[in-house]
Amino acid sequence: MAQEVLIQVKDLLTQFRLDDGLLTAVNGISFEIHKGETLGIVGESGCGKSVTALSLLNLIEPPGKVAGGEILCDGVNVLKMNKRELRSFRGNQIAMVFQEPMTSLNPVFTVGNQIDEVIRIHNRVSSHEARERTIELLRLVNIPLPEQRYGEYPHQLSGGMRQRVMIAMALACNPKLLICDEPTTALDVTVQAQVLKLINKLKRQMDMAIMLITHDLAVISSIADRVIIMYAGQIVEEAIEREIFTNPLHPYTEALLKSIPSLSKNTEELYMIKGMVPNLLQRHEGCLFAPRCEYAREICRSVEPSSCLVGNTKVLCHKYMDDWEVAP
Amino acid sequence: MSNLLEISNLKKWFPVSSRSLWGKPAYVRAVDDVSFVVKEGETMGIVGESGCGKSTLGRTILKLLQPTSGSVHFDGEDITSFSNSRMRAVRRNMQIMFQDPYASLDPRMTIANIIAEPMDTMKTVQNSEQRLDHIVELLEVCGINKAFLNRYPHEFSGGQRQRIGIARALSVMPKLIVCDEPVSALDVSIQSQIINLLVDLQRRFNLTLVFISHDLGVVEYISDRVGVMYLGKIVEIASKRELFAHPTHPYTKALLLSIPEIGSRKFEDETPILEGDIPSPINPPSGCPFHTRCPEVMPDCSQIVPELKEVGEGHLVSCIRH
Repeated sequence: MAQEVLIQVKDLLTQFRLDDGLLTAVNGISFEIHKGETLGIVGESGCGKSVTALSLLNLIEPPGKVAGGEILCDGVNVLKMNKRELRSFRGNQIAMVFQEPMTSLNPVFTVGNQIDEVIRIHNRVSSHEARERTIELLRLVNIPLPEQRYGEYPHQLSGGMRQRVMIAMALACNPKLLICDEPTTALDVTVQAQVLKLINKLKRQMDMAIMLITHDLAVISSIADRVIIMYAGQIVEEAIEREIFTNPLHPYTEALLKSIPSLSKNTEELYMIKGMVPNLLQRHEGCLFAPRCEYAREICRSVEPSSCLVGNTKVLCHKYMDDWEVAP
Repeated sequence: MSNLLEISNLKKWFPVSSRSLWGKPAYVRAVDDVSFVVKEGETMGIVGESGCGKSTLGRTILKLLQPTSGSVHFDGEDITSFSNSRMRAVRRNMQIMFQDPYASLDPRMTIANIIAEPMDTMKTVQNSEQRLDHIVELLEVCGINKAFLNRYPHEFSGGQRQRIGIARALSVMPKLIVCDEPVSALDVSIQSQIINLLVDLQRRFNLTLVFISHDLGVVEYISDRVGVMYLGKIVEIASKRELFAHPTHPYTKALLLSIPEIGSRKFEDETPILEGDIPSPINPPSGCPFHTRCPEVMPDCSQIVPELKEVGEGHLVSCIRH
């Protein structure tokens, strides 16, 4: 596969200044998105996956702030763009589909109207041309009777249909990267299957890269090419899909995979990760996962691990560092 | 094992305003002619997509909703027409646990009072000392530090709140607990803690569970038998092993095919597994409710209402092909 880099993220640091302290939601992460690939980002709630996506679009609002790092798209730093540049960057380069299809659509405008708006902001076209293009987009995302749906309001559509409208809207300017933030979490399994198939089809047809954010490992395994596992604002493991699921290296990834009840495995007792996610308002020493990790040693609680390469997997864990065997 | 719960031809229709003043009254058929039995000590899983009536079914079983018709037998008694005051005694043996750990606990009560509320209303404890002992015991059983006794729900995380919900349901030592999506609001690592706790408590106290969920993986893990619901009806019911090894109803098959699984690239080709959305329960399709989306549909399907028929031992399917 051609590994042409589309977006490069370097040491991204996103913090929120809250009443009770400074919360580090994304803690200095670096990764790349390649052209035409599906990158999956997995993690539990509060691990910083959605904040990462919003940071990519420079959409973090106060009290939040991107406090450090760079996001490079074709050599330009997104975080340094002015308002006008950002406007053409969002939509044309990166577009985003949000989790809640009902709250992301405006209930007082027809869906056609809302997609037209996007097209007309980014291109100089007549209202007639915009309408044609919108209907074409609705057809692309498999909405039956697009001419009729064009004039309907969001409440007249089902959840799956609304999510398709959101995808159509995101596709309006042929973005190079489509970020889907939990696109199927609010949907039923059979509808989820339809949307996932649609995402796969669109990726191939339009030659886009997809960044799929979800907490559902099974969804990621079904459609991602490469996977990033996040925990408490850090990337703990990054590898191609097969590697992550057949040979997980980080203890957190391993524990996550063991704790899902799945149709194929039949275990006596489900594996449990003890304890809870750390409070990100507090300062921590050592590895953030150490209090819950079954391999943790003294060194894990005192020294912060650094990222290392094992085969083709990038992993953030002392276990794979040189000093593990001699460590106390 | 004896049957703890028997429901037959249970219906719950909700009236909705009809389009015209003289029009026929319209109903949402949330639960439409459902029958099954649950044996003592077993876990009955109910799966289905949103709007299929699984939560309404759970509430109708407990008579938190009065059934439109049909009957509910609990522990040998027909409780369908019990008055509220007679139900109070029965509810000592049937409790519920809810999906949303944030909405199901009163924010102005301490967790000690939340857990003790069922004991207080049913007067199962004599004095405050006994009450406190019992609360502490429940907290320990459910894995919450007893030092947190006088804290309020907002101080707890989702998983801990769900533990409080379990402790509350357990406080009167019921025989049956209806679990309405108890883990769907939780993260994977917390979800497995709660499932293991439920399984452990069930063994310890010989509880009977009706476990309602949309997550087939969880249901398969925890249940002995599973019923699949679609548009208010049970379309297939069988032992867990049988259902997942030999799904027979086209809807069950489609459901199993739609679940993403680790290591399977299910969504590569373009043909959808099931097309369309669930029809409105106000105007359900004639004949078989699934015929509008069924990949194996026959002309007769829109005419004949299929009944649950036995196709194997304890394996019932409602499809005219079988």
